[in-house]
Amino acid sequence: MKRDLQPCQFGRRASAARLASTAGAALIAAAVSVGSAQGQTVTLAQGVDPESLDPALDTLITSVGVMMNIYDSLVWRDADGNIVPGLAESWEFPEPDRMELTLRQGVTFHNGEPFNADDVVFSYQRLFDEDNPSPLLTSLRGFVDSVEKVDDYTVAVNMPGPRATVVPTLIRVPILPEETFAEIGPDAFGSAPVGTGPFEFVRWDKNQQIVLERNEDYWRGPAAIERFVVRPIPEDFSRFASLRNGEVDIIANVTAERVEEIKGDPGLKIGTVPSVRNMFVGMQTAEPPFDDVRVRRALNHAVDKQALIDVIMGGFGRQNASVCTQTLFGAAEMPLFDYDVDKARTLLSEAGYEDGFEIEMLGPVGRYTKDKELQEAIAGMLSEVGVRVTHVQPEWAEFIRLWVAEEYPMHLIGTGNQVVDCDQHLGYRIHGPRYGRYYQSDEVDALVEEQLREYDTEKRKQILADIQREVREDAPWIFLFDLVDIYGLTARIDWQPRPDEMVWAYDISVSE
Amino acid sequence: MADAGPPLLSVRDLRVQFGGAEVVRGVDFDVRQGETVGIVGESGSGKSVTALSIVQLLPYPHARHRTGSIRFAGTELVGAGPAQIRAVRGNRIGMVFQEPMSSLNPLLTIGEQIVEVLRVHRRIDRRAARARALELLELVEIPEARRRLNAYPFELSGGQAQRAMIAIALANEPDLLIADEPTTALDVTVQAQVLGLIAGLQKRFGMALLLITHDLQVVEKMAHRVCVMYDGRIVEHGPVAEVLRTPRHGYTRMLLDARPSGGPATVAKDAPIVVQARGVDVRFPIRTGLFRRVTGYLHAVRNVDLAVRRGQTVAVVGESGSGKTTLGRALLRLQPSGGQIVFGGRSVESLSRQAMRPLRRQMQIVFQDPIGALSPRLRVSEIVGEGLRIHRLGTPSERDRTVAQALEEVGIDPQTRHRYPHEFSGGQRQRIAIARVLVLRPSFIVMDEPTSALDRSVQAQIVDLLRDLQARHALAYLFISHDLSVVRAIADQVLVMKQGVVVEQGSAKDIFSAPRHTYTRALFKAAFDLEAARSGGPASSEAGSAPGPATAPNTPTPVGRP
Amino acid sequence: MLRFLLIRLAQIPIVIAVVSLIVFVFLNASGDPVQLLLPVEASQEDIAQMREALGLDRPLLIRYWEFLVNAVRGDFGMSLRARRPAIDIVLEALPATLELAGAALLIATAISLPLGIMAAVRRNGFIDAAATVISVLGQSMPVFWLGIIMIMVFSVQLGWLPASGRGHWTALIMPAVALGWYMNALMARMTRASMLEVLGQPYIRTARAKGLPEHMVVLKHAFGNARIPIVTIWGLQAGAMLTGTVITETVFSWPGIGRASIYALQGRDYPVVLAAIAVFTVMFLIINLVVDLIYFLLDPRIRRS
Repeated sequence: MKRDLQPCQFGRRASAARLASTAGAALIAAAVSVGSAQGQTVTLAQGVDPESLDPALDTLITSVGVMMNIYDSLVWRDADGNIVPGLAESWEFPEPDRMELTLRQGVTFHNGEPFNADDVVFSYQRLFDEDNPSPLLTSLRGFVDSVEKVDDYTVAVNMPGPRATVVPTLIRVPILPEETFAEIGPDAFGSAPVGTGPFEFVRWDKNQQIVLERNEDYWRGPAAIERFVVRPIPEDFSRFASLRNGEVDIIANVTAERVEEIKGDPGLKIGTVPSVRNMFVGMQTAEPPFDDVRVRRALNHAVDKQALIDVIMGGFGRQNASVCTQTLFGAAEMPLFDYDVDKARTLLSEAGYEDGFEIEMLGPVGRYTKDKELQEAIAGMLSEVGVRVTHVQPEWAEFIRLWVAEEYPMHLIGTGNQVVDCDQHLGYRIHGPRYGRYYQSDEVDALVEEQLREYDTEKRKQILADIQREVREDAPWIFLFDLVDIYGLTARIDWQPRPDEMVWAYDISVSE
Repeated sequence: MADAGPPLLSVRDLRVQFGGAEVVRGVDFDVRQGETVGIVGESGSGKSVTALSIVQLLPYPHARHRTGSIRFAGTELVGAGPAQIRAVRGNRIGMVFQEPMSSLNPLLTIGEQIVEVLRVHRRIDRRAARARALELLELVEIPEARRRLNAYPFELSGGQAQRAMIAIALANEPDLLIADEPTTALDVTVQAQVLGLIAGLQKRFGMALLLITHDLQVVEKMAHRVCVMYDGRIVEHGPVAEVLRTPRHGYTRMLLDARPSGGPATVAKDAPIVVQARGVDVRFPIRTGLFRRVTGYLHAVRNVDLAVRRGQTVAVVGESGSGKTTLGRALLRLQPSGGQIVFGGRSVESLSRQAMRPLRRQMQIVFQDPIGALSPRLRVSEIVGEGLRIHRLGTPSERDRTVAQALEEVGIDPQTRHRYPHEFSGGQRQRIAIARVLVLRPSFIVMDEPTSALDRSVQAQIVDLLRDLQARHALAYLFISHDLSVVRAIADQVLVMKQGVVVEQGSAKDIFSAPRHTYTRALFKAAFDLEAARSGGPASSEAGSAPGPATAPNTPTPVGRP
Repeated sequence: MLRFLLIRLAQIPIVIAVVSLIVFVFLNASGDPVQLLLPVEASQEDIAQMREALGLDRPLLIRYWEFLVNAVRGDFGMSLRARRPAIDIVLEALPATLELAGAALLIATAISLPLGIMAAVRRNGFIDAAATVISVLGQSMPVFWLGIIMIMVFSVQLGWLPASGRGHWTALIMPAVALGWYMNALMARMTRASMLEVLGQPYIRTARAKGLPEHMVVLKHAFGNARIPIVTIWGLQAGAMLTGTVITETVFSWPGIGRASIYALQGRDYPVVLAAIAVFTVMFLIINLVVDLIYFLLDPRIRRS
């Protein structure tokens, strides 16, 4: 019966009335979304509801994705990954540690408040409030020291030194209307935000739906769709069922086994994009047995990564022996460690572990696609060379605590990247002046510092390639693969997913 | 009587089968208008099933009548339609059952339970029905009838509840009243009153009465004719006096002889005292009000002295609520009390739980209800051996031997010790309960109504067994009972209790031959007046307050029916 | 009665204090809300600053004491993640949970009682067999699976009901059935057992001997008595149902307290967890109170003592 319908009309009152008469069923689908009777409403389902729509409070990528439809940043990245102007029309670096941006004129917030430099200064400076620290500050620290007004449409960004990735870093800070925020206060603002972005906030039924409506006066021109609804559906299966039932148009994190099912349904299709996320098995390189590079290389040879991709990930994944996901700026192809059990055994013998060893591996369950299966398969492969793995699989909160505390010698984890630049991965994964854990190398640290100061793109790429080579040889992780983000879409949706895990509805159009 | 026209109720070749087992095997009898017929038999004889068949109250279709006809006032009731049978039930045939408390709906007021039966059979409004219910309660002589209308069953005594049941049964002035063991669950003095009430009402309404009982005394007192049932058949029938005086069937003779006989063992004057109690006193606090403050005490046992010697039985006699069970529990230290209790020469009233434990083995109790006392989930060997295990006596194989011996001693085949309690009869279960106590080799046993739940013939056997065991092991018994014929057969000393006080105390011989206290005399009269009658003479002439059978009218009296 | 009510009300803060202490200790023994709040690249400095700003740098017992003092006034503190009053987050979700639990209770009660009564009256008949199947299925199938199977059949295959969300009454059907299913099964079984026991009681024989029509015997006399133990089970299950909302609300994307609390728990947002537990506790105690009141109304033995 479902196929008699245009899937996305399912769920609106007018069509519900029609259904009741045409379909023999006594029960009809719920009019869950508020949507107008006609027009193009696109509904996105994701796992969790934002805590707040104040960007200073919620930095979860799913929440940021919603916010980026409401707000603009000074700069933006298009669907192809190019950095493009946002609320700043242009920028220059009068000093290596000072950036000046010229702001777009004639832009107004959704409520009519005009946009100017005061809003930019306000949006940045509030993050530095020590009494009310923002998790977003973590992303700025070390890159931006302060933002000041030069004139009404010029602002200056002061940095602690030359910072090659400062421009994409600015993407992460949405611009809020200073006066409106002061007027209604942070609580109310976080529940009913006002921005300059492509969609205006309409309503938020907590844990139920966020309804956004097209901003007809958007400075880039109005979006193709009229309405964008975001619904939290925590269960994978329910999310999938809602898509098949036509209650939602876009779902993220589709598992590989659902792909065939979606492909087989004429009303649905999949959208894929190589992700910014890279999966790997970390090792505590400061302590035996992983202080010996031969052991680390041995383990890299002992794991059949292609089999993991083919069997567990359903073919969605790309082997990568670089510290950087291949979608990132500066990423370079590195020669893979071939799957060779004999070589692995030989290396282990040379390191004095001819009988292998016992080891505990920390890993999350349910955080990443197939994380549990991956851990089990890897443990199975390692047992072939005598490495006997005991799993430690606490829930996420405890996992993070143990991971930060470096309590276990091995762990499965994945790193994402909001800046879409190699640099952020280096920061995560290599212990240096910033925050990485489990692996430290003086040579690499020096190179990491150098690339960060290098504004020349080509030279910087060279340094980044050197780093990746160096790290590949050091093999501080069992290199696994880059993920592919898989979205389920209803057939009428025309949208190319972005690698940064955000659903930017401005890019979406609908063919009826 | 024989020429009084067609019988009101005529049962012919009635058979009842439960599953494959036939429990009533071809029964014929008649009840005429105004007549009282008694059906006597022990449990399992099929007498109650016969009674329930008449109004078709058996669990059909599990129960089946293979053959049989029950004609009531010209209508066939076997296989009658639901509407037809409902028109008879509670209307033309009233029923009174054994357990008045459980036969009344605990959640409805007495008034409502009477009003209901009135309104379902008559076009009558609620007010009129209530007025009639009040009349009925007055008729069955319930004190403060108006207040009792709004009382719930739990607020009535057993006797009052049975009166209420009678009121329900008589509400629509039935032609026939079936009373199934109507007094068995009641205290002796109350029994006599209730029987008197039934007889009086029967006379007044001119209705027929079918009286089902195991108690020959009741039949003697009430019935014109009697049918003796045994194993699903009527083995003997005829006028009461005739059947009782010259019983032809062996079973009838057995029934007549089944009353416990013989006397207690003689006890040496200087036999050592096993238990001695001085000034035993038990009070239960009464709490009332918002803060549950103790506002008074219920004095359950007041200042009782007693002594039980080796090999002696001291009986405590009294009606329910007289404090006899509480006294027994106090002696065993199962109930805190005032006064002094000496056991085996040692003062035990202030001993802690811990200190009592080694003595526990020597002081045991046997309860009235052998079904409730035995855990249904345990095998007999486990039940009997439980005490040995708890007191860590002997090895497992020694225990098994002890259990087998004890079972043999109480007359249970030791081969059957691996069975479960439900596979045994009531009498056998009581024997098992006694064996359980016996294995511990106690010196003192409290017998709390050990025979009251048993059939008469079984009672006599248990009494014999107890006497036998007492003689063999020199046991001291405290024998709690309301059944005076049993007491007479076993007790050496008797305490008569009323409302917590010992009103009379002395040797059994003295008390039975010359009771001094008025309460003792009332108790004895209620219990024995009919027994005396058995040997001759109509009961009514001797028993002042207990009426004889109502005279059956020669012509049926029309009963008013709206 | 008044005394009884007062005792019950006095229990509420005690229960909340005990439960919250346990939760407090547990939540602080594993995971760290600050690490979860900040991106993984957070430096020790970031973490320390955030911890201080949220007041999490102070000793556990002092924080617990403050929590208790404030909780008495209905203030459960600010959500660590949303930075607004935790109790608001929970109370926003309360109507959805009440709606779901209410509907589930209604369904479970409305189906199980007639089913159990019929099964007992027509023992070993068709309805009895059906009731047995329903009981076994209901008690052996986890809510999670039941939910998924229902979504598969009624949303994906038949397209009759929405798979997720709240708003239209049709969206309530599946979650309510899933949540009430176990209770329905248990209650049907209990009703049957209780009815069978009562139907064997002498006063039922009396009712029949009075010539009452069968419906009066079954409903007025038998069910009138059988419902007393059923009320006990009803109360216990209604309480247990509150915990069932956690899974049901997750499977069906129902915006209630269960889901809010599990999400808060995952993020170690303990003010929200504690507020949710407090609200659950109050609801639980209210149910108990209602059950006691029902007893009071139904059973004269309690009423008159």
